[in-house]
Amino acid sequence: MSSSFTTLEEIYRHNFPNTLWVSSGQELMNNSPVPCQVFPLVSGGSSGGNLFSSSSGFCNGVYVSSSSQARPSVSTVQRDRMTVADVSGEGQRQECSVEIQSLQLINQPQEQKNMTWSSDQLQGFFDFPVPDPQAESSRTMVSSKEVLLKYEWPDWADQLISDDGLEPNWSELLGDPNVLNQDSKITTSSSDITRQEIVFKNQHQVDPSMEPFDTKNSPASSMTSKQRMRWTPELHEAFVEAINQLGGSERATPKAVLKLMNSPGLTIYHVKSHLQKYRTARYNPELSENTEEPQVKNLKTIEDIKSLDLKTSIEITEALRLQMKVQKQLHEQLEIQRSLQLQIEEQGRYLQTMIEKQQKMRENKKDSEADPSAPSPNPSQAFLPKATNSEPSITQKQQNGISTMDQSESASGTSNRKRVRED
Amino acid sequence: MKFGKEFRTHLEETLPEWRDKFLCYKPLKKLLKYYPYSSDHLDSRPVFADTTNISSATDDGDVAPGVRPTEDLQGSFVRILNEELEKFNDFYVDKEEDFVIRLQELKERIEQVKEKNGKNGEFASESEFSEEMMDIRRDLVTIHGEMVLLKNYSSLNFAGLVKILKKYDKRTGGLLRLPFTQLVLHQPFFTTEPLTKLVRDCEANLELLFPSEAEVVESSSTVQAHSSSHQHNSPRISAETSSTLGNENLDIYKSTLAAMRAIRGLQKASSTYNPLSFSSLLQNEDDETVTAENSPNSENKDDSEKEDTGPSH
Repeated sequence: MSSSFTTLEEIYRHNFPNTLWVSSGQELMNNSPVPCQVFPLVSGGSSGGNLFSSSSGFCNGVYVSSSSQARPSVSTVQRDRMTVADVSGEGQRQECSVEIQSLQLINQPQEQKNMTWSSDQLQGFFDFPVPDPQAESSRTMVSSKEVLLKYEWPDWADQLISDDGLEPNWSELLGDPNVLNQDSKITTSSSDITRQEIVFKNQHQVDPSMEPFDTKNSPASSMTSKQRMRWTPELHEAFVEAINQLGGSERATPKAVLKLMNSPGLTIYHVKSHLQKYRTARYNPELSENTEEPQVKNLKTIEDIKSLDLKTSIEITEALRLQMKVQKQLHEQLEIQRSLQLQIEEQGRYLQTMIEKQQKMRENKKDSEADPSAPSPNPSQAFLPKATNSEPSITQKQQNGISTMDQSESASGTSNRKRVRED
Repeated sequence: MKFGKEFRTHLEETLPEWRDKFLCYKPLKKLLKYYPYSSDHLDSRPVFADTTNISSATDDGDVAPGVRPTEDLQGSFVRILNEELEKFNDFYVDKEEDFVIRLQELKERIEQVKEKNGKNGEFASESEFSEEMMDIRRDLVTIHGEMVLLKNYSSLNFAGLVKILKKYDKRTGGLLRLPFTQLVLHQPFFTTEPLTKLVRDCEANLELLFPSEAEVVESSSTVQAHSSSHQHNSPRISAETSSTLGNENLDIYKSTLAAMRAIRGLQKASSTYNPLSFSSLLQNEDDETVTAENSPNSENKDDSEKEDTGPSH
């Protein structure tokens, strides 16, 4: 097992030179239940018909519990197509580790989840330029900082959520421009984050050595019925069109729809479940429409129509408007929070890479100086001036011969993250 | 601890059918709490090359710092987290699909109503038309609310995951956080861009159909009702709101408020200082260049001058 694992690792390393190995091979072998596997985004290359190629970002996250377990649970996680690019501020690094057992387990007809498809978005995916992570990250930090500084939690929202007895400030409620200003900033930040995503131009070609992996996947996935698929509006439109061509949601059959849609990777199970949902969604509004009308008519005959309607509708309108305001506000908040979350993660990783680079430099320096006896001095002066005393632990590791990048990165990351300020 | 409390409070106040779809934060915390007693290792030094222990750096004094996370704990922890991820993803993608369908339906309805209106005579009266529009509006607001709540779901769960991973690393000296976080970042439930697009779409439609400032009330009686609703406290408004919104919308409304409270709570300073936390970023408490403008209270902030404040975060 170890040999095959090593081979696989080598293959991955060879083909994805930019990747960062998070956990060392040794560790993986010794402690079997190890997490993680974010494959670099393998492009949707050429090999037809199998999962690996048709999904643009295929990330196998496989967590395998220790083999002693009676029923190891395998969950494969796949990255979404373009959304990955949008989301992860990974900079230039990717982490990739492979659990050998996972490959074997994938053969089993486990539930394959998370298949994401969008061939049209595949195109846009490769258009992102490869950025300079440092510049980007500092810029994004600044811009998000601006966002935060300009951020204002309007009084009305504050009062709404803190104390129900307070009166919301209606003027502010109605005329709060700040909320909208941040949107542009946020999108700037997130687009910067997008550009930081590694662009897989280097890893564009489908790796032939990955094929065994792929072929193991495809039969397994086609066997399972429950596949997680993300329906985009575009895909749904195609679906609706197919339905209409076939004469309506009641008459259309999944098979026919599937054929009409002719979307690669779409299986009949997807279509079936989606059709079911579609039918339910259509059925319900029809029901409600039919039941509401008679009630409305009764009301009209009894009371003075116009004034009552007007008053009710005013009230309803006001209520809806208030609700909408609150929701919009929450949404803005969430956008900010999300960009923050991404920034934090990005910054953390950036710090690690810096530290690790410094360490490498020191190592190289040490090697070149042929100075074996000296225990590495406290490297904190060497790099980030505000680095803390967690460095010695890292250097000790180096002395022990651990030079795996993941080790030092993680080690420094977890300890430094708490204290080190970014410069 | 603060997060846990905020989280739990939010759970209680959010949509009932969503409650068990959230992260099981408390149980995971408990699992970690009992961790030292389940471990057999007492190594304080990383002897083997593959040990992921940097225990000497942890500042958790009470736990035996050098204890390596046992395979059992790590295995089960990871397994649980995986299951949680599955749960999130399933729920999220399912909901997302629902929203796509429903929004599409709403748009179709709008088209139909527009057509009907254009045909000049399909509608018996104006009120029927406005009734239709009111329905559509209500549905749009509802779906918007749900979508935003789903975003909140995603964000809260992510925050919870990150926190619990931090606790795990702190407690056991493991190195689970980074790789796992990387994995989480790419999960469907956290890649919310499609959902954001839907939300924007929804908002655009609402704007188009019901321009926000155009609700001018002419008649005196209604003006009175209008102004009285302005002047009165929000209990009055909530009473009106509750009576007019209907149960479904009311639930969403309450959940939305709860979500905002939760976010506020997260943004407040926590017990452990972290320069990369929300509170630090928002408040700049320890920043050297704290100025008068840099008030700790975010809602009082009105400055926009400060661009680069020293070591920016």
